[in-house]
Amino acid sequence: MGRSGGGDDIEGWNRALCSGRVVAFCPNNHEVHIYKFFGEKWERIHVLQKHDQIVSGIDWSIKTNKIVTVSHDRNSYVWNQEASEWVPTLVILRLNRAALCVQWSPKENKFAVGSGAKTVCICYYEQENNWWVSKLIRKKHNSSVTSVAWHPNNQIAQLDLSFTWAFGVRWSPSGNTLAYAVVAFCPNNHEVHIYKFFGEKWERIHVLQKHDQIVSGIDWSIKTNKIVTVSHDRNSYVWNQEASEWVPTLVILRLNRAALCVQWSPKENKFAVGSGAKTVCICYYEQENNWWVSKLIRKKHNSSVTSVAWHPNNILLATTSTDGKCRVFSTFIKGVDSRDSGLNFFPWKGSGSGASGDVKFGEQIAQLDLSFTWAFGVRWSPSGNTLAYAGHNSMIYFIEDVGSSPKAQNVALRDLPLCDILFVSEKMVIGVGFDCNPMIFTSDETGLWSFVKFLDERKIEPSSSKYGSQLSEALGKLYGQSKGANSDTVESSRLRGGAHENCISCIIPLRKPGESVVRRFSTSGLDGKVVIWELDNSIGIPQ
Amino acid sequence: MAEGFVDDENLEAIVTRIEQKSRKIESLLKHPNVDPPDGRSKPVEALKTALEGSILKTRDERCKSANWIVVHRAIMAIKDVDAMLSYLDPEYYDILMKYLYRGLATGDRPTCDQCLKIHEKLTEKAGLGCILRSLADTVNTV
Repeated sequence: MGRSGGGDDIEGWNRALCSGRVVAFCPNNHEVHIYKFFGEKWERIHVLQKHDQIVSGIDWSIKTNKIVTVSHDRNSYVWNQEASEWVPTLVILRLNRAALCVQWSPKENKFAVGSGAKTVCICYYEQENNWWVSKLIRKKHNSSVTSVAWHPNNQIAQLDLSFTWAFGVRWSPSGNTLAYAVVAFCPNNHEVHIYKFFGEKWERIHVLQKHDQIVSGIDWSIKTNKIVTVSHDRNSYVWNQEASEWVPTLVILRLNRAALCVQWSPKENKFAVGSGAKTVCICYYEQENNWWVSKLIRKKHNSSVTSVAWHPNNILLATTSTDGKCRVFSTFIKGVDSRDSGLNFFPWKGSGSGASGDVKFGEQIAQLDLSFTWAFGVRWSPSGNTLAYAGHNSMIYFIEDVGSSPKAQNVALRDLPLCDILFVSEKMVIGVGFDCNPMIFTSDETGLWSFVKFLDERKIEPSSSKYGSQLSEALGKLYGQSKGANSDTVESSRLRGGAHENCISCIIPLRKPGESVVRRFSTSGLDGKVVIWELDNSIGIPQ
Repeated sequence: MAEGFVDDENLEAIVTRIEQKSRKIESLLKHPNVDPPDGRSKPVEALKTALEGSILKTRDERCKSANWIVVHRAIMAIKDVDAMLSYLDPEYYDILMKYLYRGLATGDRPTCDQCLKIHEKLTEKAGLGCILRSLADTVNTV
């Protein structure tokens, strides 16, 4: 959790958050300060001075009440509280470069140190010698180790990008293959930031500024390497990379309300925009005029369109809207789509019923009326056979065989509603939302969908005193986080310790081209975090 | 008017159904010594009877009020909330939650006491999703 580097003087908040009224942090020098909350204000009660250079990592064990610090001076200290004093014990890490990060293991009998020496140290206490031993994991990393995480309950990396919302994260084509090279996201303002991973840390390499208002949607095409953004300013830009610069092209959507979401079609020759104007725009490129044209699907929705999803056949588009309905449209555009491409989806529109022009642009193929409240996050399964979307009444809906004989299933959730959905395979879905914890759903042999488990197995600690909530409230204010000042003690203990601390608004696959099963994906949410997850082998993915 | 809601001439039928339900509940609550065949407790059977088919396909407020009086009678007869919830099948949770909110809306002291008591246990058992479903449904109101 602690961020390293930078001149930020509140760096290194750590798990001491959980230990009550005291917090330790490194003010970007060789000291560690411990502050205590005295009912009214925070007072410095200790200064731990032992390191010679900048303290780069700190972690406070919960059960054993030990603080471990690592520093650029290549050493580590374990601090033990003895009669109100913090007594340091030197841990010789045997590094030849700076230590960068540290974390106690869940059992607190070991801690791990990441370093600039391309090495990870695992340190443990040897009773006989009264000594902390450092064992090295060498020659596995090709560069500095920037973060370590114990007991990786599937979670392999975490990136603390900002304290504002990060919604609409998209990974670049190369990011989808091997390393997490580049990520673009909208930090809840009119900009789009592109970050690149430089072996050691994430650096911002581009800021796309063109929109006047909040960027509400973003999508990065895989094959053509184009970024499309839509905004509350009712316009859209298609960004093309020309000689390391991103060049925008305005797309006039012809909307009178904000655009809300955007997605490239599978062939990447069209994109769809959902809007607050009860309208969906289908945009395509006209070669002759060097111009993006926007065709509207009007008068079909009774409220804002919250999500759009392309069927793999590049013709059908599913939408969800705040009138509670999920609809499927044809987006056949003459001269852009070939005539036979979408036809296999309509068995009742065989050769007998006239020309293939039957699937006219904007024709509504289906309307699913399952939810009585706002609907969100519609997605097709990889084959396009199953459709799933979430209702704001804590339900998730699965519709199988949409084309021929639709069979709908409702799964009621025990907890808070979902915002977005990802099909990991034909039979497995991950849902994210207001519970701040991704949920896994699977379909059994009979085709029955059910909730399996939460992905992030966080520890739920009952908050014994009122201090916990007061502290987190105070910290929430400090951070400017929207944790909900009124959240009661139950709520704060629920949220603690997970990868996300606020509503997750977006889930994106990190898929290698041609891969049918998604094992890696990223989530982002209102806490400003982007988290990369990897499904380990303990979670069998039904194909 | 949304489609699928019955016409006014069917109001009579609904009222008759509510009356039948009311009589059944009264008899269940009046003869507590005669156990139902499956050994379940009487007040729970009464509550189940009250909840069954209680999503009225009408927007007529008089019907809803008449129905509420019946459900209210069954809710107030619950003595042991834990036992009631362990007998009640999960399919009734959402609809019961709707009636609890209707009860809380009355502002009547004993009704609110009882509803809050059940609400706490029901939320423990059925989760926050149950509350969301009952509050978010603006079509099938009770």
